Parts: sequence; C-alpha cells; structure tokens
Amino acid sequence: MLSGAEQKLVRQCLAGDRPAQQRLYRQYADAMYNICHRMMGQAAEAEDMLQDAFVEIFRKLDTFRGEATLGAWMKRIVINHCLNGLKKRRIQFAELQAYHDEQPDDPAGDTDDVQYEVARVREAIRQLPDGYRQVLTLYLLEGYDHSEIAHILGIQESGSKSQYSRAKARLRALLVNQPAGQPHRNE
Amino acid sequence: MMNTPDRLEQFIRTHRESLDDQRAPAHLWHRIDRELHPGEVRVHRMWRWAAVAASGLILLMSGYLIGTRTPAAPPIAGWSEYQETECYYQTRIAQKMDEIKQVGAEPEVLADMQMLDEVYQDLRRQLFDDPNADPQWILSAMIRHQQQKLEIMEKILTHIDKYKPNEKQLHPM
Repeated sequence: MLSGAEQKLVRQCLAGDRPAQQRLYRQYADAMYNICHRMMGQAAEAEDMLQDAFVEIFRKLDTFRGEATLGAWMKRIVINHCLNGLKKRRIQFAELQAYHDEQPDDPAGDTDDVQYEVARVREAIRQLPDGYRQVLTLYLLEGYDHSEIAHILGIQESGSKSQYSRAKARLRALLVNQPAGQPHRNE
Repeated sequence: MMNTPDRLEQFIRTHRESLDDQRAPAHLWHRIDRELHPGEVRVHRMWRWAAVAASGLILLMSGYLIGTRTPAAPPIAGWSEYQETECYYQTRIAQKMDEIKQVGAEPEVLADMQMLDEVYQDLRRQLFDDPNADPQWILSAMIRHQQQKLEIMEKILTHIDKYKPNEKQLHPM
C-alpha cells in the first residue's frame, strides 16, 4: 500500500508533471544505480541500464497496482534491464565454468578469523566474476529468495542455491587474500 | 529453508547501506527527462545535422586554403559590396537569435549557435589572412554559411513552436 504522499507523487508523475518525475527519480536513483553498478560491474553500462530502466518505469507507471511497494516494483524493472544487458555476456548462471582455483561448495560457517571491513567487502563484491556477483547481489543484498532468483534468472532453484554457495566461498577467498587498501577495478 | 546466516552474511546485511557507495551521475536525469518528453530532443537532433553540414564548410575551406599569413593583405575585390550583404544577414541572424532565446531553447542549442558563429569568423579571417585564397569563393561560402544558419534557426523556431509542451512551464534555459 502506498502512503498518501507517494500516491500523490505517482499521480503527478502520471500526469506528466516533470518536477514530480524528477523528485521520484531522485528518491530512488542512488539505490537503483548501486544495483545496476553491482550487476553490470562497470559504470558506463550501469548508467545505460539506469537510464533505460527509469524511462520504462515512468512509461509503465500506470500499470503499477500496488501489489508490491513502489520501490520493489521499480527494482524488478531495473534488474530486468540489467539482466537483458548482461545477456550478451552469455553468463551461465546455473553452472559456472570451473575456475582452476575455485573452492567447492562453501563449507558450513566460516572458520576463518577474517575481520570484515565495509570498504574491503565492498571491493571484494566488485571483484566477484560475472555469475557469482549477480546471484550474490540478488540474494544477499537485494533480499530475493532462491525461488524468486530462479524465476528471475530462468534457472532451477537448486542452481541458484549452489551458485550462491560458490559465490560466497569465492567472496571469502577474496577477503582473505586481498591486501588492504588496494582496490581492483573490474572494468 | 532458511539457514542461520553466517558471519559474512550477517555482516553484509548489517552494513547493507554502507555497501551502496555509488551515486547516480547527475547528467542522467536530464537524459531520462528528454527521452520522456521527446519534443525538444527532436529539435536538438535535427538541427545538429544541419550544424554539421554548416561546419563542413569550414573543413572544405581548410582543405582548399593553404599558405602562410603575410603582414599586408591585398584589397579584396567585391568587399565593400559584400559588407552590405553581410550587414543584412547578420541583422536577421541577430533577430532570430533573440526569438530563439525568448521562446526558450536548450543551452546546448545556444552554445552551438555560438560555434557556428565562430566558424563564420574563421571564414572571415581566412579571407583577409590568406593571399592564396580565392576571395570570391570565400565570399560566396560566407553567404552560403549565413543562409544556412538562418535556415537552421528557422527550423529550430518552427519545431519549438510545434512541439511546445502543454505544461505550465517550459523547460528552463
């Protein structure tokens, strides 16, 4: 259910009120841009995805029925655009080709003593390869469950779980190995 | 089936907001806004083609004119007659410019009008600075340039008028 203020904003946007549209955009742009940036792995494509997604969001705003929150509804559109943008990379979400140093499924719990720091975790997520980064983002950061992710990516739920498990293991490995203060650009 | 989150998951969830360090670039709204309201975009794209054509004149000139500057340029045949023509065009161009500003064109449109003006000034300089130049050729190029510029400005005005939004406020300059 939308709040009264949000309902009013949506109505104004639907009426073509440009300042209202800009207010709605500003409210969600940063959060959505971070999603795009994590999904695409680089800024130029992330910008394109954000732009296209918001154009669609405004054009389809009249179809929003309040079945989810406005933010959640917008997020799905943003993610769909990102996934379309990723299609040309032909990422195998269900089974990633094995890297020679890839860890098997993440052993239960973390036995390491790594102290987590926000900046390093942020950087490590960025360094995750395609496939891992998207699934980890969807599950751990954007809060989708595995059945939703399976639906979004068009894979089996078990595929999502195992992909996520491997993504976590890789993330841990990056955090252990990463020297402090040396960000690596994934672009 | 919900597993208890491990330390890494807990950490990430706790610090979820800090992980969002990116800001949406400032210019993106402008692009989205223009895509949603295509009238002005149509003007912008269309006249850019004309501007490219007009500036093609200067490229043609650069290819045609070679040589070094000499301190004293010879008098140019037909110059005094041309000045009257130039005055006519420049006055009309100035008028159109006022109209465009009044109706409210985007800053980029104005900036590129400025560029066209600089192209014209370059032509004028070459007329005087290059002894190898064919003055008649340059003079007619200058006339063509001004005619084209007027055409472009006319089209801008027509399009702004045609696609004037029904909203209360025009896109601010």
